[in-house]
Amino acid sequence: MSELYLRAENNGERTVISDSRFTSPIKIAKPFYRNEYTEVMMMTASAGILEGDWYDIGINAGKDTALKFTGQSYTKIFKSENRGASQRVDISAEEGTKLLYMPCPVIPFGHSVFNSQTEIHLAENSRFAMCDIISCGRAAMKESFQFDLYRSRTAVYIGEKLKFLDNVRLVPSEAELSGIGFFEKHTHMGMIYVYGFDIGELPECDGIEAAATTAEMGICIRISAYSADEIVHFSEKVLNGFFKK
Amino acid sequence: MNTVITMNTMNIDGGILKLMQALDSLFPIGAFTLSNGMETYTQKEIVTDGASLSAFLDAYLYTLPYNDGGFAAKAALGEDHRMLDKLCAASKSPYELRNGSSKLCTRFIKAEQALGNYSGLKKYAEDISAGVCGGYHCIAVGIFMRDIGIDMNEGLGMYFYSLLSSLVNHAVKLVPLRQLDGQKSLSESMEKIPCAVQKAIASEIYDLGISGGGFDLRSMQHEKLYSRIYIS
Repeated sequence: MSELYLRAENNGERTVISDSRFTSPIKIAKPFYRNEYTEVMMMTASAGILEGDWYDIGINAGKDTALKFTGQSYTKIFKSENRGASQRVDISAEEGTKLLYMPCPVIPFGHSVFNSQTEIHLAENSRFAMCDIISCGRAAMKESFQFDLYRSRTAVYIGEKLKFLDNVRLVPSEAELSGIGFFEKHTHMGMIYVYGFDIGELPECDGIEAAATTAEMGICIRISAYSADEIVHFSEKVLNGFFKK
Repeated sequence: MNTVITMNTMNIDGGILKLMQALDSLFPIGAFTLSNGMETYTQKEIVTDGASLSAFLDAYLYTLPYNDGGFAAKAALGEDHRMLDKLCAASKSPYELRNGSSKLCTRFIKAEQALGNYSGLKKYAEDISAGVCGGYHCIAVGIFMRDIGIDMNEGLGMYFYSLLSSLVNHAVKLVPLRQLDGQKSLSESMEKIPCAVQKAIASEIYDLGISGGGFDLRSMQHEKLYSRIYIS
């Protein structure tokens, strides 16, 4: 098991990492102190997620912090048909916090098996956004939808009540995932969830399909595209001003 | 040679006719106003003919045991309706799907309560009035099946059929398609209903709320379609 835990606190001047621990191959880069927030980047010494890997990630953003959590480039999930690989992410944002969770776009390789479970607990007066991107595989190498299983369940609790659930289960052998109802000929899909921040109208972006809706609480945006970069670029536009008042 | 005719007497005094009535598109709860994303698919010319309609129905039936079909099955099996209601509300992120299901639920319960005395539905109705539950049609249908004591396989099969039939009817009008082409697609997808029903019954609570990202995206795009006949 590889573990990462970090806690951010507001020391009166800025957001600092008050506690952190991690085990190989995960590590975190030295925080970047931006004007309006602190950015922490998770890095892995391995090329990606390997068979038998189990990641356990905990991010706790204390009262009145402003934190952006990102990863490095992409998360590749390697062939793992025997034992699979899994990940558990627990995130909490306390009162008055602004937390932006931007995990890496995921590329599931041929015969990969991945299970991810994310639980997010938000204080009612916090601000939160995340962008989750999944690709069909290594499309450029003609390895599309060759994985065995991709499973990702994200549950958002606001004031201890379940208010948003994104439950993804992709099994290429069971359904035509490139077709209707799923990727619909695109190679990438994205999901942005926003709470406590007014995104206004969606920006115009050529080449992608995107739409927003009001979830039970918060806003959910879904995007279909032909590259992860397009979705990242779009999400940056949508979340422009996230750390402002 | 003598021909022996055996009469297979269907238990028509039981729930089957009640459920048939409740799921009939003529039942006055307004199901005909909801296309559940089909209007986007036809307007964007993704569903254009019998073949694309069949592909749509296949994908829909594949995810059904994890969303509306799964919620109905779990409610029919007697799972706590409050827990199911919370999961349903949180996972139906497209506003029009959530709101449409909620409206149908309110009218469904109102109509059924006028027709009989159903203890499960009554409890769900009380929780909805008290604001404890949001109220979703799929859950109400499942509770109703339990109230009338119908066989799960039969009941869910009929519910799944009613969902497919209504999608086909919308597509036939919207594309438009020949009635017979619509019926052909429906007929093909019907063969997969028994398998979908088994999956719905066996589904884990953890898996409820799984949907195809494409379906959700199209339902969300519906909110901004330039011309709309349907309300979802």
